[in-house]
Amino acid sequence: MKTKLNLVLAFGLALAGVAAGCGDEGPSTVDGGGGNSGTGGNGGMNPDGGSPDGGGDANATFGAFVIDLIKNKTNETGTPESLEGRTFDMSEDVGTFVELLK
Amino acid sequence: MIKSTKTVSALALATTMALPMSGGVQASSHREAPFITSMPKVDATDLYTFRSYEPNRQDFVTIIANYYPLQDPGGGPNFFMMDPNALYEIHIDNNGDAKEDMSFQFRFKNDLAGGTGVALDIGPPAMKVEIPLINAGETVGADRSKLNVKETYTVKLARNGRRTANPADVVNVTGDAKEFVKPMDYIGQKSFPNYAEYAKAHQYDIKIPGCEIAAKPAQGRMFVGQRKEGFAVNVGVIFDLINAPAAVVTGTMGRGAPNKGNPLEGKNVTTLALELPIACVLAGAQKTIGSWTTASVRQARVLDPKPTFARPALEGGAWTQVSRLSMPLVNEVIIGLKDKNLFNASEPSGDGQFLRYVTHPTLAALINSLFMPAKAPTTPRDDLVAAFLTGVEGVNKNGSTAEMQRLNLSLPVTLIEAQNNLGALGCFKPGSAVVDTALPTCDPAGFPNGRRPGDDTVDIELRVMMGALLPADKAPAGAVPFTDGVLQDDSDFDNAFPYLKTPLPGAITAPM
Repeated sequence: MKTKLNLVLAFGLALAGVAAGCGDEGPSTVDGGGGNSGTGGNGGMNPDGGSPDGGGDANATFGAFVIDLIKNKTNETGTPESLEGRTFDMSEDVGTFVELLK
Repeated sequence: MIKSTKTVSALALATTMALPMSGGVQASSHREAPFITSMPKVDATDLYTFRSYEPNRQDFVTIIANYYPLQDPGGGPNFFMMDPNALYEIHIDNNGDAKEDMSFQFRFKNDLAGGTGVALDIGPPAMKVEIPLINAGETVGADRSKLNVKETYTVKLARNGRRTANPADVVNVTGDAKEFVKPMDYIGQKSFPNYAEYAKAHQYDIKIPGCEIAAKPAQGRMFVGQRKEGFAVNVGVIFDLINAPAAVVTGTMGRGAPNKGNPLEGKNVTTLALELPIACVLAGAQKTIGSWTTASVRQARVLDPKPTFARPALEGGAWTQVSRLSMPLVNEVIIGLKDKNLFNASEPSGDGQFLRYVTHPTLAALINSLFMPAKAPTTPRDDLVAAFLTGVEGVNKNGSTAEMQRLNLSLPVTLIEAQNNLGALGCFKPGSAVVDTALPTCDPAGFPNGRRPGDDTVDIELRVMMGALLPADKAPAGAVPFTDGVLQDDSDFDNAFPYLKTPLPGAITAPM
């Protein structure tokens, strides 16, 4: 399922924190294989980076985190969520983003 | 420059070793940090802030933010539309606290003509089929009937914080319209027989919200569109470990000739230009403003496996800053590679975290390692702190310690024919950071007092980096006229808003 999901969906998570933590090594992938994708960065180091405990479940799946950002935190006045200290469960179901993309 | 530019020689070095260049030209502030190379549409390349020197516009300040580096004029068929999912901003600090007091916020929208694009009758049997190009015929003046994509934008002004609620609309003086049209890029002379006229039709007189002059809404001017790249820098040489003889780098052979040998000469860029009444940007007794530009994107992006023109991906979350630029070449040649992405995501008020890169710069040491006689100045470098972080005493010091482009708006304008392309560098007594405006070489209206298009910021920064503002005992090479050998001056710019010249065409109509 994860493999299929990879074929169908690609993620790009553009985070200030990711910029520092992951560099340009590419976006996190849902299978997380061979890498430490999503294991954080130091987004809290920058003024835009929010706080390490700025909301959300620290052990949420990556998909749930992204969906929460898009569905609930899209506005003109907010600050981005920090990735610092977050550990994501990367085992997504194939249908994770289907509803979001409808 | 790429983010300025020339500068860097030294800088270049560090960047070269760290970045896999994809070939072709890389300029200094263009593609200056690893992460931004993946998002060219939001890559800020240069910022200019100066009192308008166009005749009869001395009561205005012009701020130009360039984005989307290294545009090949023939880069079709899609050319260089701005990112509709990004927020481009120009910030002004007018009270010296290193926080934005005015933020002009640009948002773009790219729509297919008629919703689905221009279609042609193809057959038999008759069938409407959409064309693959962004235009379908010759365009004259402001006519858009032959364009397959309509690029528009809005501009809002947020005061006292860029993420404050309900920023006010900047509107067109004519009809108070909130939506402005961005001219299509200069595809070529067949598509646009008179591109200068076409582009001019997209320059707007605007009302500045929240500012009145003589009891009437204050007016400024605005242009957003493609322009000819104005930055001049010897990038190829610089990135190849300053691959030039010492006689060239140390100025023994002069500084180059106007419009000669500039690797960026054949490129275009996208300009966001504002001309604002000085009375609208000043606050209280503070006469020095600080400016910088940023670009932000939504924090999350999910690519759509069934992408459309309008929505190839779903983006959401808070605005997350990915590009920042004020003084040229800072992120290119001063900030260490490991912190370049972080610098692009940061704000001036948090610049304390980068202080060591300024007080103990590696660029001078790198130059020293490549050209042994060019001995690096001793550290810590208080002169660089003044030049980049605080402003210069008696000129543009404004009370904050933060990287921004500082411009003292009470200093007089220098008309184009009298401008010194070494800017205000000639105002300093030799070997010191003391300003003497009586010096015949002094042009206080130039960089680092703001930045004009014709200021040769690469040569200026090279010299300051090597100790031009320090006494000889601290900077043995401080009096050397360092240069990258590519001259920047006002000859490659217009003497009127928006100052940057008409872009280069993708194709030229051959004479019959």
